Amino acid sequence: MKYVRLHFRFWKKIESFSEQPDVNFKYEMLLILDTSLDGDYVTWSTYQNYNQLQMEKLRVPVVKAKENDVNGDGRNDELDLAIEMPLLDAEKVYGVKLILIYDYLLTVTTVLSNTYALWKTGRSAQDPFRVNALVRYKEEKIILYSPGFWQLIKGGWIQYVAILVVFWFVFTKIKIFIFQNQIVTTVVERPSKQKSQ
Amino acid sequence: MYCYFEQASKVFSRTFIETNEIIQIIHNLAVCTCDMTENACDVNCCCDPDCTASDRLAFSKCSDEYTPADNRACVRSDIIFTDNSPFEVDTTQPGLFCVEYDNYEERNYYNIPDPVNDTETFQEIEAEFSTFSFKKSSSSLSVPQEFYKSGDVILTVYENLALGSLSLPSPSINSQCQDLNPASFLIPESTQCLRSIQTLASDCMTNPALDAQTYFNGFKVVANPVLFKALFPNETENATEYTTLAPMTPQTDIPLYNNSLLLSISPDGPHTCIDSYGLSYSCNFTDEIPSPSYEEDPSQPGSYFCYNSVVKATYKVIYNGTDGIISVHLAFTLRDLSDSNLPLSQSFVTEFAQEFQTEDPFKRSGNPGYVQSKPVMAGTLVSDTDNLGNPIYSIQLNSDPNQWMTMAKSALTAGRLPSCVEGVETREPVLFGVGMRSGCFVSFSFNNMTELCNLTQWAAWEALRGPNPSTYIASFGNSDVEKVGDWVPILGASDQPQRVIPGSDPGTCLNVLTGLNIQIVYANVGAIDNPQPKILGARYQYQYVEQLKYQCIGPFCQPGLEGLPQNFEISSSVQFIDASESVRGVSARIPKVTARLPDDFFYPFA
Repeated sequence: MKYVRLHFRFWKKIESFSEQPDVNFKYEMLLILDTSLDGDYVTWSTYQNYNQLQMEKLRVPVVKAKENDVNGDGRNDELDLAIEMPLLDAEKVYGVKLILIYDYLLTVTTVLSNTYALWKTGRSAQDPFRVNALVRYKEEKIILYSPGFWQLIKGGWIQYVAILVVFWFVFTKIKIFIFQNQIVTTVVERPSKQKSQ
Repeated sequence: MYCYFEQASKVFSRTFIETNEIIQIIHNLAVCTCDMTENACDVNCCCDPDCTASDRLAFSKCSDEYTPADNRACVRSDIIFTDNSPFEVDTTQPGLFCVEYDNYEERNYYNIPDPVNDTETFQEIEAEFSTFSFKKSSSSLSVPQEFYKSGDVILTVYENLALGSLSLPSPSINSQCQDLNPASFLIPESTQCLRSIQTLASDCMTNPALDAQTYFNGFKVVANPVLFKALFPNETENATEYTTLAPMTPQTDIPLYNNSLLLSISPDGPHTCIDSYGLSYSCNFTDEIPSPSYEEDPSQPGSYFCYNSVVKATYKVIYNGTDGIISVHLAFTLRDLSDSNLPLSQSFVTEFAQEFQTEDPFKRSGNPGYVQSKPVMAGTLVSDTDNLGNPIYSIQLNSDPNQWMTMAKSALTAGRLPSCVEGVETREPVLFGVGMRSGCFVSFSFNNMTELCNLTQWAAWEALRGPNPSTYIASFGNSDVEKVGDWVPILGASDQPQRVIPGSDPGTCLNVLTGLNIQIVYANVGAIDNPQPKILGARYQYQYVEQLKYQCIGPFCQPGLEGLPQNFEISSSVQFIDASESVRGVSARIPKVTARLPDDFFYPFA
C-alpha cells in the first residue's frame, strides 16, 4: 500500500492509497457467435455440460491466452486473448458474446470499464472468425478513506514538531539575548525571597 | 490605488513604408460600431449621423455599444441611474475619490502594428503567433537521401521514367488490400489482405492484382539513391522528391533507364503452384511466369478456374550496408482459383538478406531465455557414430519453427467442420508463455459407438500428437542442437494410448481418450532485473474419461433414430507453469562494533 497525500492540511481528514487486485484468468470462458438474424449461432465454452447441451451448435475454436506481468511485481497486469472460431464460408457473424471467468482477490468491487470494441470487416474464404481482446487489470489509483485517530495524530504531530523545534530554538536564543543584554527593563522576581521577608 | 494589467499585444517597432493616415496610439477608435451602413440610417443606432432626429424618435431602443476608453470609476458601481444611456452617464469626472485602475495611458491602448508587406515578415509573424489550422500538413514520408536507411521506401523507376516506390499491399482500415503501402528497406514484413473480386469470370484476366507480372514487370528498383546524384549532379533539390525523371536533363551520358544502379526484379522463385484440387507442388515454368487465364478444367467438366492467380508474393532483397540493394528476387505462390476461393486472400512478404550470407539464418526463440510468444524449440534425438565408433547424439530440428512443437487445430477442410479423423493436417505451433486450447470432434451414433470407439481412439491419439512428435524440448531459446545436455526429454511423449473397453451397455465406451494437455514448466534465471525464462521440463498428459456415454435425450435413441450422430470433443491444450521461486533474501550478519579506543588513550602522560 502506498500512501498518497491529497491535500496539504494540518489534520488529514481524508487519506488515500492505491492497490492492484490480484487477478487471474481461470481459463474458463463462453463464446457465442450469432450467425444469422434469425437466431442461428455457434457456440463453445470450457464447460463440458454446456457443450453437451449445445451439441448441434458446438464449434471448437483455437484459443490463445496469455497473462502478462509487465512490471514484474508478481501480479498480472493484462490478459491477451485471441480466439479463432472456424466458420463455413457461407456463415456471417452478426454478433459476439464473450464471457471470461476470473479469479479475484481484492478489497473493493470492480467493473470492466473503458471497453473499446472495434469490428474489422472482411474475411477471406476458409478463414476463421477472429476475436482479439486485451483486458488490463489496472492498479486502482485512489481509494479514499478517513484515517483513524492515531494516523491523524501521527500526521499532525510530525508537522507540529517540525515547526516547534525551529521556533523553540530561535526564540530561546532571542530570549537569552534580550535578558543577557538587558534590552528591556526587567525585574527579577524571586517568590521564595518574598516569602521569607 | 493603482492596479496594473499587462497588455498582451506585441510591439512591432517597424517603420511604416507608406501610410496616408497616421493613427494616434492613444485614441479610442470605436465610437459608433453600430453604424454599419454608409449613407443610410441604421435602425436603433442612435449614434448614426445618417439618422435624423425624427428617425431616432422612431427607434425602440439604442443598440449602441459604447465602451468608454477611460476606465476611471468615480461613482459606486451599484448605483442605479434613472437614465443609463452611455452618452448621459459620465463616471469619469476627476475627483479625489476617483479610482483609476491604470493611469499609465499607453498601456490601455493596443500598440499600432505595422502592415505586413513582405513574405519574410509574414512568416516571422506566423512562426510566432500561428497555432493550429486546417492547413494541409506535410506528409512525413522518409525520403532516402544518399543511401538507404532502415525504414526508407525502396525507390523504383518505371519504363516511362516515372518515379515510384516498391509496394507491399497490406490491410489498412479493414481487411481489404491497400496497394499504396510502401515496403520498408531492411524491415521484413508479412501482410495478408483481401482482394475484392466480384466473379472470376470477369476479373480473372483483367484484375492486375491476380497477375504475377504486376509485381515485377515494367519497373526497376533503385539500387542506391546515389544514382540520382550521379545522374543529376547539378540538381539543387533532392531528385528523389520528383515524381518522374523525364523533365530533368541528365548531366552525364548515363542512360536513364538502362543503367547498373537500376535493378530488374528477378522472379526466379522457387515458385509454388496450387492446383484446382488444392494440392501444392513446385511449379516448373520453362520460360516466363504465365498470366492468369480463365478456363474450364478438362478433368472437371463444367468447372471453371482462374489458372495461375497470385495468392502470395515474396520479395527477397539482397543488400550490403550503404551500397544498398544488390539484387531483388521474387517468389510466387500461384493458385488455380474457383469462385469458392472468394473472397480471395493474398499474402505479401518482404525478406532481407546480407550479400555474403553463407548459411541460412536461423531465427532464435530467445537469447538465451525464451521470448514470450516465440515458438517453443523442440525436436527429436538422433544418434550417429564418430570415426572411433562412439555414438554422437544430437537433436534433429525442423527447419520450420512452426513445426517444432505443435498441437492439433480445429480448421475447416473443404468447407466441413473439423473432425479428429480427417483434416487435422493443419497444426498450431506452441508459443512460449501462451496458454492455448483447441479441439476436434469425433462422431458416434447410438448403434455404432461401441464398435467405433477403439478405432476412433487411435485416430484421436494420432490427431493429438501429430505426425512427427518432438521428444526433446530446448531449455533456452538459443539451445545448440549439438549440445544434447541443453535439451530436456518430454515426459509421456512416446506413451501409447490406453485401450478402450467397450461398455456393457450399448452407447457407452470406457476409458476413452478425450484430450491432451501439454504442460511446460519454466523458471526465470539470471539477474532479477533481466529475467531469462528457462524451460525445466515438459509433459504430454493424455486425459481419459472413465465412461463416454451417448446422450439419450429428446429425439436421440428413439426407435429408428439410433443412427443420429452425436459429437464428442477431443481437446488439446497447452499450459505454461511458472516455477520461478521467489528470490531468497540472504542478509549479512549484523557487523560487530569493533571501534575501540587507542591503547594509550587513558595514559596521556605515560
